[in-house]
Amino acid sequence: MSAIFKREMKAYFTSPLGYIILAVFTVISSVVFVINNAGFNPFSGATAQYVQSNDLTMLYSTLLSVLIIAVPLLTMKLLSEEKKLGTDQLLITSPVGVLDIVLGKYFSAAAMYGMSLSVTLIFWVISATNSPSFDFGVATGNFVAVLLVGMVFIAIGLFISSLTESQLISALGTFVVMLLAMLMPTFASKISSTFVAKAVSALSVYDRYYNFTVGLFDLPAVVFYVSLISAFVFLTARVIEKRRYS
Amino acid sequence: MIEVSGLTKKYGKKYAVDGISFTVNKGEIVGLLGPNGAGKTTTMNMITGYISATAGTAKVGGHDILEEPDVVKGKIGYLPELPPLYLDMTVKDYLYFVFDLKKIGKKGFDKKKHVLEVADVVKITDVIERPIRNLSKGYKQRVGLAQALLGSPDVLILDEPTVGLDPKQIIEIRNLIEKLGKSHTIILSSHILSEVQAVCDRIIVIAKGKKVADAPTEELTANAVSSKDVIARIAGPSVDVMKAVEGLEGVRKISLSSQTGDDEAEYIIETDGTVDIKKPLFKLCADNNWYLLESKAPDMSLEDIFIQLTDRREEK
Repeated sequence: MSAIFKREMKAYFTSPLGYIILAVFTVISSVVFVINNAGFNPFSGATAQYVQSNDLTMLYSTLLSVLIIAVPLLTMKLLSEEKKLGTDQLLITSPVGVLDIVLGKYFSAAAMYGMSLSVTLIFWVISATNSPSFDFGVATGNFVAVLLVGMVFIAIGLFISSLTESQLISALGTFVVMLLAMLMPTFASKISSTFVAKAVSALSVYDRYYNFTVGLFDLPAVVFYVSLISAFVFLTARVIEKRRYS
Repeated sequence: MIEVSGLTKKYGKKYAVDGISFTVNKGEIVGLLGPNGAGKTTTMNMITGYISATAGTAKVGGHDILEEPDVVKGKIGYLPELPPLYLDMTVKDYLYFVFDLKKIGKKGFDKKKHVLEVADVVKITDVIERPIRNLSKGYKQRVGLAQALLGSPDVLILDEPTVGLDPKQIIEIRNLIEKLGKSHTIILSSHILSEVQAVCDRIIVIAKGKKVADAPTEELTANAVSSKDVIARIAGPSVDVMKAVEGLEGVRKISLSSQTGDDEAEYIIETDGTVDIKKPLFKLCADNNWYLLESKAPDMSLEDIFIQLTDRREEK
């Protein structure tokens, strides 16, 4: 597992991909921080109002939207490329279990993502030094929530990349699934049958996000996210395993 | 070392491999010979555990691939038809990765030293810092071979190791395989007879998923070449030549196959197979002041061998 993890981490940085994802997170979170928290608004002209805020909720919910681009980029070639290059033959005929292979892949993408997200910790430092009322609880809640939601989608993206040999289809598939997941709360509110509406929102990844943003540690939500991650990692291993029998 | 019994792979209703059994002893170089689509790759993929068998077993060193996959996989170095290379890595990083992946450190090898040794064996030391993407096909093949050699596995399984290489590279890889055969048990596949003939101790012929022959190389090729025809190119008046040759003992028929020059032609001489006519033929030409420019047995193609072998099976 560690060999695969190391290789994947290195692969993110031998291609521009790793740098692009890091740059996207850095630039977007910086822009949001400058406008929303530092109070510098270039759009309000010379009479800019320097309203300062130490609440990073806006910053993290913006990054939550960025995931829809970042996650497909992170996961698109994890397994699709292996099949295309024939390197899956090397992995499977090595004395390593399929689950180990999948976990190595998963953790590399998750680590790359965690690294990108950790860029935002610098804004904690800036906020905390400038304002004594900085709420670490809310910041932690937001960070953990975005991290968990991202990790769920990485597991789903990994699963989708195991289904195809094409990076493009893999990325598009992940994008569409994330888009649907994002729209799920909206769908749920439009459904008249309360039972179906409840069922849909029960499966929604985004609905569970909000409790964290006010600094609440929502254990059932954490369990939900971790279960989803495990389920998709397991399914991915099954897909690879099943290919050997077909 | 390798015991395969009743190995079968079914895709839908079609049998890709149909009940193949054979054993390979320690230190042997065995060639799997068969036309494209005969089931060579599928057989190799099952032995190495890349795909599972529908029925039958494959054992390496007494361990079953289904029951103890990790033990078996640790004993095999596998070079698939398409070398499994990560194009974005350098040769060195790739070999380090494979070293870690196959947990070769646990066998007591030193990573840096071992990778350099293997690189030296397959002669890729001069490209070791280069990205695999930029290597020529021959080098890629050798990197693939290096990957299989890491950890000095007991068994090497090489799927069409020389396909797509130029003649010089083919000879190099062949020599390398022969050298490796001294310390490893090797199975290699090919659809070219001369290919396996050159390096293998024993040849297993596969056609349509079934084993049609399993014999030492000399035996198989001797059988194959026991043709009764001789092709001869003789410079001399063709009417006289044909008349004289027909008079030789054991000759059934001579026919002119092509006029190759002003006063020379190629003949196909059919014999009854009881005597070797090459020497009498030479003497005959010498006595008549003709020149025997060439005399040979007709080339046996793989197809001819298959037809022979499958015919023989049907006769039984």
